[in-house]
Amino acid sequence: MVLARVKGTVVSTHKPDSMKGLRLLLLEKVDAASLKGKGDYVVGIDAVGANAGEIVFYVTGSSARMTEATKGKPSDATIIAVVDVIEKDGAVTYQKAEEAS
Amino acid sequence: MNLARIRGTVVATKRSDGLDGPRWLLVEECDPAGGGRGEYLVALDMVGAERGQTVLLTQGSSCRWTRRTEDRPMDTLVVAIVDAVNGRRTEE
Repeated sequence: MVLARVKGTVVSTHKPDSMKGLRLLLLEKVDAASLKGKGDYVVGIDAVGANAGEIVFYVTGSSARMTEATKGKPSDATIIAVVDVIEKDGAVTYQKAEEAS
Repeated sequence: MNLARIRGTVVATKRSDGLDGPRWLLVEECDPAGGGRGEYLVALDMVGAERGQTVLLTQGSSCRWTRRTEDRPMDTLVVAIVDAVNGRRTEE
């Protein structure tokens, strides 16, 4: 799974019926140590209720179709978790409560 | 599979994976000598791996070929703890 920050929303009205109702979010991959954006963006389907500014992780490929929200849908990037804490080498590098989005 | 090293943990309580437990491993892909490559992933732990250990990482749809992850949205698993590469023991 890949760590990313929710940077905003993506809106599309012209799409297959199977994709209607799905929430598209703009994600920027982040470095796990600094939590800084890597300038690498992806659009993911929100299966968890993520908000702008939050750190999340998402699944790619066929695994992206395995959530309740995306079963049978043409998603290849699905957000499955909102991160509370990242601990690296014994030190907390990210804590959700401390960070105002 | 890729070689990786356990660098820490990720906790996420708001999830939609249908799995037990909120704790994940933060892993860094590494070269055969154990050097980190600066690329990090969040992985599900299948073997009880601990920080510093070198492990085998399975990615993609193959991750769903365990009883625990069948039909789950999982694309990165720690499937084994590596003892040695090319006869050289991995350091912790």
